[in-house]
Amino acid sequence: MKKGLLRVTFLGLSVLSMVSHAFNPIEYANRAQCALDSKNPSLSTWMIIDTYNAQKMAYNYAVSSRQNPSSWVNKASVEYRIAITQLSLSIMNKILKGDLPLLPTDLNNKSGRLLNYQNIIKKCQNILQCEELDNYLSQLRQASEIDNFDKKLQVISKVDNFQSTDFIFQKKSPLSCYLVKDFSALQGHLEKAKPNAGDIELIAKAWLDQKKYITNCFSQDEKADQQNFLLQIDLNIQNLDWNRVGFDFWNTTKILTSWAWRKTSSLKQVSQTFHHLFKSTVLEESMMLIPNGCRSLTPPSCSEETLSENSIRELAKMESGNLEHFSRIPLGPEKKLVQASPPQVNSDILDFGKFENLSSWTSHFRKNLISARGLSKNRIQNGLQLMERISQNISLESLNERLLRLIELAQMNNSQAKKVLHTTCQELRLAFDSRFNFHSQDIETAFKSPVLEKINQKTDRSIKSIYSYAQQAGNLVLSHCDQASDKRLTEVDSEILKKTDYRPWAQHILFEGQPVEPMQEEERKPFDKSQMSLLWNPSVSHIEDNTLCYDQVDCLRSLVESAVEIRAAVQYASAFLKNTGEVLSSSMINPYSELMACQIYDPWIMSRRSIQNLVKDTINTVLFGWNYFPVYLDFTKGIPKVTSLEKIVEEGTLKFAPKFQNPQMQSQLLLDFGPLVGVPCSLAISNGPGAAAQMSQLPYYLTGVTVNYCDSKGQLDNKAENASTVRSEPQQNSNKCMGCTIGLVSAESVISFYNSKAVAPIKFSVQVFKTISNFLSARKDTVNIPARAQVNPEYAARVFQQYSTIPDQCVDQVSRGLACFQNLCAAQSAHEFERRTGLKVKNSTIVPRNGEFSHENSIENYAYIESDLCDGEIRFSVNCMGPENVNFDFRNLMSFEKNCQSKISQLKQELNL
Amino acid sequence: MKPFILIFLGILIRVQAFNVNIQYGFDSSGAINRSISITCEDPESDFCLKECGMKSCLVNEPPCINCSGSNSEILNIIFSKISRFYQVAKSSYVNKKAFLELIKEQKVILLDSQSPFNFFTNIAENQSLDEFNKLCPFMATQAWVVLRLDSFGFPDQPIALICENKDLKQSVYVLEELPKTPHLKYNLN
Repeated sequence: MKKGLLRVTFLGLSVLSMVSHAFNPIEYANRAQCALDSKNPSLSTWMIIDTYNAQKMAYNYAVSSRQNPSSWVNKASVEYRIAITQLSLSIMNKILKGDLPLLPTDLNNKSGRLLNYQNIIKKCQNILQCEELDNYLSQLRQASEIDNFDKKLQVISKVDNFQSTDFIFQKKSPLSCYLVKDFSALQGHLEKAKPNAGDIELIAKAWLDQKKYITNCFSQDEKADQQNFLLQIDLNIQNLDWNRVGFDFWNTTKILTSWAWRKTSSLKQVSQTFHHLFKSTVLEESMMLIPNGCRSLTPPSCSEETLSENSIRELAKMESGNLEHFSRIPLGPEKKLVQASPPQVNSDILDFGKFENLSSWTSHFRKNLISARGLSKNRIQNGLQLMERISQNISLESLNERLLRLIELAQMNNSQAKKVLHTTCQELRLAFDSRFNFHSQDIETAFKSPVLEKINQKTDRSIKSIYSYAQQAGNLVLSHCDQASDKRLTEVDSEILKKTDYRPWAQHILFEGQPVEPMQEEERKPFDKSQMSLLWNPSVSHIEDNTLCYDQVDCLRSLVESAVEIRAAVQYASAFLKNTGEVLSSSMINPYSELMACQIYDPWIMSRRSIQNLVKDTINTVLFGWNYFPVYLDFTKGIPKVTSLEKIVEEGTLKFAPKFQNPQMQSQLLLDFGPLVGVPCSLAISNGPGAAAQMSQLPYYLTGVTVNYCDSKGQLDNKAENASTVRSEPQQNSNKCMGCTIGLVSAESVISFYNSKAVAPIKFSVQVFKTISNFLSARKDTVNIPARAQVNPEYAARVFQQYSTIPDQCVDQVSRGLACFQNLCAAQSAHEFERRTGLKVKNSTIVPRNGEFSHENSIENYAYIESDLCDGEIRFSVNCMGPENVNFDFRNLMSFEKNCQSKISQLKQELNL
Repeated sequence: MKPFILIFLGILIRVQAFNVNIQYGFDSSGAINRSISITCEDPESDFCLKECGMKSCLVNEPPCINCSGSNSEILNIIFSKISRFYQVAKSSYVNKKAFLELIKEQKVILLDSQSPFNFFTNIAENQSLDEFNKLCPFMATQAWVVLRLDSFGFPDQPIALICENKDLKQSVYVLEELPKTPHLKYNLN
């Protein structure tokens, strides 16, 4: 047995038996919600599998062994895809049923218990092979074979400080897996923030015609493209706080899949014919995970790694010709992030719709990804190899001599020497001159990147010493350039200077917008033909491709070019050159993932702005709407973050009509407004009979503003009922802290009040109307106020089958991930019943328990359900207190139908009731 | 360079005692398999018989972790530019016994131009054979680079080159890294 290569079984159960056919609801989110969701772990992921490596290997094998390549290629492709799928799903299943523990994503958690794991990962993150990690994972695997959990925990806690909370226990496998054959309305969330009846109908039709769009993950149907596959893996998690464990689940899956592929004999179980060959494949080149929607697989962070991984989404776009990843002088992910305009999230950002079908999209994306990765790797490897060879062969002394010779020739007015000096100095200034800082800082940063050390396998000299040589050589040349420039020896007649006298990277900068042309080999050779060449291998007689560079100056320019290329590659290297040992994942669908992490986008900004505007307008209205007091608050200078009124007076945010600008006024206002500013406020509409239904019948008028405001210690509850009445009360309810309520009553009850004040009621009512109207309009911002919806395709299909369309009254229920019944409460009850029992509900009605039905208030109702359980209705209690607040009580599950009663007893037993 | 040189210390010698080749087939479970076959060239040579136990022996090639893909820098160098970084050792001795041991212990794999791991050059045009031929002392019709694997099964270093002439005669040469300096060629004019 080879050291470090554990020939162990890892899979156990048949994968087919652990995969269900549930399809997670399609989750819609607008921009602000999508940004918020990025902080939560995904329950659905796409797995892109590219079988090119397996195909290429099988092709070579077939050619070598004189067999038919095409049959081998096809067979290898199918087997490879199924092997990856089976292995990944098996590992997910083992984690979900509590065989394997969760490995944390947060390595910097000082209170983290798994210190061995944290230390090993930190130690191993910059090395290609890590025996300690292999051993650690191997011990976890061995413990996973123990059936008894207590014993398992006992064994595993010796590996690290694992506790039962580090395990997930899902009784029933929550996994489902589909091979996506083509895009359809089942990916409708990529194009819409909220579905309408038409969208739901399309989903229903796609679901009913699903054979066209999705199939079983392990399907071996003949398919036009046998190279690129997109799988959708859904998790139907029950009774678990997924936000607590989700990221760790994906982290564990990614690490263990890579490990098991190489270090266990699992492959033998999932690939009968090719497992010997597949073991040699670079799994991470063949698969990647993309969260299906706005949620993430890894916690978003404002790091080089996250930014470059997420930049991969650009490679999916149809117009990917001028991509940063292929540019000689890329901006880099950080600058790109700041400079780019706010992206859309519900506008098919990955351009699926622009491609003929899914296959052509995945093929295009993978081709770009592989090209970008190859380019990135070659730039770094070739660049370092060349820089090392030059640094070891061209001494600074000989470089100095050559430069002195060129200067001497230039002084003799040799135009060729002047041209060489001119172009060399310009290139050096662009790359290495810190006084101009075009790229010198970026290049220095790139050479300090740990990614570079990780990739470098071939150079004997350290990256640091190679870069140190480059810097010294650069400084030497620049000092000569300064002197030559002072003596006007670098001035060249523009007529003899061609674009191709510069290296391509310099052309890219100096001739912006023009096509870059390669520098001809002849143009690189020294004009005085008196120098040396630097060869890769002096003993090889083949001339072509054996020369690194001609003369010291050409070598220096090649060195600079390599440094620039390396700098370009390092920008995105974290994504492309990820260490083997962890599957790549990228939040491709959600561009706000990194914008949130880097705090560039604030999903609450519009909510806060609308609320702040409401506070501002309401206060203005209440205080000044009924008289002619010439003061108004202006919060329009962005989102105010005001800590004191004094500050807003100083900043000019609080404005006065000129004639009232005096210190007395200001201090009076300070007194009155102090507690009010910057307080977020919620709108509470006073409940007159049927108030909610009459929302559209504005105007509603204010009875006053009540602002609950805590001081910095959160101890006081200040209430301001108008500008001059601010009183403090002990805080009784922490929920009130930092909030305000605005009481609205109908016009009739308040008009008399204001009339009695003999002020300006018309002005007041107009202003109130404007205030409320502005607020309601702002809250209708469908992009920037967080909003979500979800559609269960199966439910949508049921509604469509029942009505042959999606009736308007069903849109709300179906958009909440429910089927359509009597009302929302009935739909929620049906959904809960199906979720708990797995039985299909045919009808659901709500009957009030005490004879008086109410959905809005907390009056208990009975849900009467007709289902596959039995012929007849069964009943349980339900307490529908609002759309998001429903309680079910299955303990009193019963039926008046005889044929249902025995089934209910059985069901209760199954549900442990 | 690397520790392997210690094994291959000495002077260059053609290995006359046996020929190596790649065989393709299936293992007992029906999985396709690559094996290195060692055939005694001279049946009278007791060395080969002693080491193999018979006139020929077959050793399964070990997996080469991360070799199938474009990830490995060393494979890129071997297939597309080995002559830039390696040379045939001018004075080296091939320890035949040690060489056979390496194969038998599954510590090496053989890479030819059409290897399953060649993701770097056009196999139909045998481009890598042209590259290998820059190092073979004669125009080989077939050549294999002997790649040593590290203790994890990852590719480590090319350690030898087997060149085969048109008469199917094989010679093994020790490979060593080119000294990094000096590589300067001065124009005489």
